[in-house]
This record gives sequence, C-alpha cells and structure tokens, in this order.
Amino acid sequence: MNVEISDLTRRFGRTRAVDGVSLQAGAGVFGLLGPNGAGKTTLLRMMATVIPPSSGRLRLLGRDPGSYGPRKEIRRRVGYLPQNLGYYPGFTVAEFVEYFALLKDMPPRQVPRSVAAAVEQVGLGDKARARLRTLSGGMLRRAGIAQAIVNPPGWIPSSGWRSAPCCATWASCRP
Amino acid sequence: MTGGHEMAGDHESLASHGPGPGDVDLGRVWLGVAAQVWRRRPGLAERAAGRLLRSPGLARALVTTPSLLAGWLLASAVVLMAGVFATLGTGTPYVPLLAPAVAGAGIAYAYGPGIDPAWELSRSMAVSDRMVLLARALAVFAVNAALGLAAAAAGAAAVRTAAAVTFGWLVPMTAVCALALAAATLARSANVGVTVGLAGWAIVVLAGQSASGRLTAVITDTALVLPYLAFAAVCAAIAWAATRIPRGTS
Repeated sequence: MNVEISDLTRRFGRTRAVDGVSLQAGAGVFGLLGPNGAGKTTLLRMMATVIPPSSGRLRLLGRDPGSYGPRKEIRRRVGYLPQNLGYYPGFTVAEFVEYFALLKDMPPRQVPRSVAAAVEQVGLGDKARARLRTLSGGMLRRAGIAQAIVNPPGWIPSSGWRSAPCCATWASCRP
Repeated sequence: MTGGHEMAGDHESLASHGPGPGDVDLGRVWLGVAAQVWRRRPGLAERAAGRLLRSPGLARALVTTPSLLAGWLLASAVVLMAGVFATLGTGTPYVPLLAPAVAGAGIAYAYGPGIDPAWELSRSMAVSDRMVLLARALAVFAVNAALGLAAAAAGAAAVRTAAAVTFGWLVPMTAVCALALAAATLARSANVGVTVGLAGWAIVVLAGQSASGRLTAVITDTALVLPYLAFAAVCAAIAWAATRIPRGTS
C-alpha cells in the first residue's frame, strides 16, 4: 500500500478540517472529490508530510512519517504539487526543477539528467531556460509537475486540478 | 520525447538484442545534451556552502535566502551608512543601535510562508526545512554581524568611541535576532517577527536611556550580557519548538 490512513484528524484551533478519515490506496490514480472546505487539501498536505495530523494513523510508502528517518525517506520519494505553486520568478524552468531535485536529496551527479528528463516529459524543453515569470499559468503548472516527477516518485499528492491540458500532462507522466 | 524510465527500458531491450548501427537512441542522446546545456554552474558562495554544509540542497536553499539577496544587503548597508553619517554628525554612536534592528529584520525575513515563494513545497522535501531555517538564520546573522562591525568600526574610528560601543552590540544583536526569529516562527509571519524584534529593541533602548540617561547604556552595560544571552537562549528554544513536527501523531 502506498497510503494507509486510519481515523485521521487535523484540527486548526477549534476547526476540524479533517475528521476521522480512513482510506487505503495502492498503485494507480485516485481522486478526492468534495465541496469547498471539505478538507481535501488538508488531507493531501498531510499525505505530503507538509503538516502532521492531530490524531490518527498515517503510513506512507509503508513508513511512519512521524519519525525523522522514515519521513526523510518518504520525502525523497514524494512528488508533491500544491494547490498554489509558489515559485521563484527569477529562476528558469531548469533551475526551478533542479532546486527541488537537490532538496529531494538526489545525488548531485544524477540531477542534470533527471532535470532534463522531467522538463522534456512535461513538454517544456523549448522553455527550459525561460524565466518562470515569463511563463503562462499552464506552463507554470507543468513546471510544477516537472519538479514533482524529477525524482522517481512513489507517491504524487497533488491538488487544484482545473485544467484539462494539465490533466493530460499528468496522464502522460504517470510513473 | 519519451521519459527517462521508458528510454532506459528501450535501451535495455536494445542491449539485449545487441547493438546495431541503426539502434542509436536519439532521445537518450538528446537528454544527455540537454542535461549539459541546461546545467547550472553554482557560484563560489554556493560551492563553498555545499562543501561546508555537506548538502548541495541546503547550499542552494542558502543562496536563495531573501534577506541575503543583493537588494536586501544593499538596503542594509544603506541603513548602516546612514547610521555612520548620523554618528559623525552628532557624536552619538547610532550604528550600534541600528545594527541589531537591521539583523533582526533580516533574520525574520530569512524563511517562512509569504517570504519564501515555494515554502509549502519546500516543507515536503527531504532536506529538512528546519535545517534550511537554521542555515539561513546563521548566514544572515554572520553577514549582518560583518556589515555591522564594518559600519561600527567606521563610525567609532571617526568619533573615537570606546571598544564597548564598537563591539558591545553583538550580544544584544543575538537577543534581538532570536526574538525576531521566535516571533516569526510562532506567528508564521515575517512581518510579526520584524515588528516584535524592532519593538522589543526600541523598548530596551528607551528604557536604558530613561534609567541611565545614556542612549548607549544598553550596549555598554556589561551586567546586561548574561540577561541578553539567557533571553536569546529562551527565544531560540521557542523557535526550535515552533518548527518541530510533533511525534506520535502519525
């Protein structure tokens, strides 16, 4: 199982954003559907180890993200794409993807080739040296996908799917 | 263009059938070329930081620190230069009073939501964001200490002030930086960190002046060194706790 969740909750002050969720997911593509404010993004952020749960049990890629060592191992294999992709406007596409490859602890020798492969895979090869501030919203999203797949990801939590071209890009990038 | 994994698979299948003259995998060749063409050459500071920190990722995160970018450093230098000119004009050492405030603002703006564009993404990375914060905070502190020392020495040489005034602000600067860092991490807002740090320092300076009649009392009074250090330690512990991911909630 890639994701095993049991009775997971997340509170922000008095608000229960996620309340007793249990699910299991193996290989494949899964979607979380629900109305605004249902807690989908919070659940995905917990699955990406960005925020810890308030209670419940969460195992990712067979490991417990509550401990430092396993969490680091999970993070090496997670390709997270947040709802609002933050980016450094002055970075080029290749620099942006390289930055996250390095933060994912990839061996430096592998980084240039993995960056090139990820950038080509999302169809941004001709924009690899373009500054992010010059890209359209769709291209930025694809740059975000490139950083998510630059490592061989075992698990890709991502949110904010509203654009058909991006969904098509994802579909072509499935590991 | 096909993906790296697919190409690796193709290559293996080609290898199993033996190489042939027409079996050149152009996709693989192109990736090798692109990797070299798009490769970024790290600068001197990044290479040095990579060797020191033993982590290229941490080094890259360090050189992207917002408060270490050229514009911020230039602004800090301008503020301190204004302090030097004010010192020369009035004879009152303003640089030792400005330096902790400038450093505190830099520390608060080193890392966090709203400051680092890709902060949320960075929090899902194998290189710990706490380590990024620590490395950036230390680097900002060191750079600001160097800037402050240069400015303080320039001002002190001109008005012939004592060594206590020239160097005495380093310990208060540690306390102000720790306060700004603790407030920024607790509130998850750099602006709150800057406000608390500056307000705290202003209160201490004004309280010192009203108690002793001297504006520089808070940096020359050696009895304050231990309280400053104790306060800095408490604030650092708060910042450490605020960036902790709780155990046992997995």
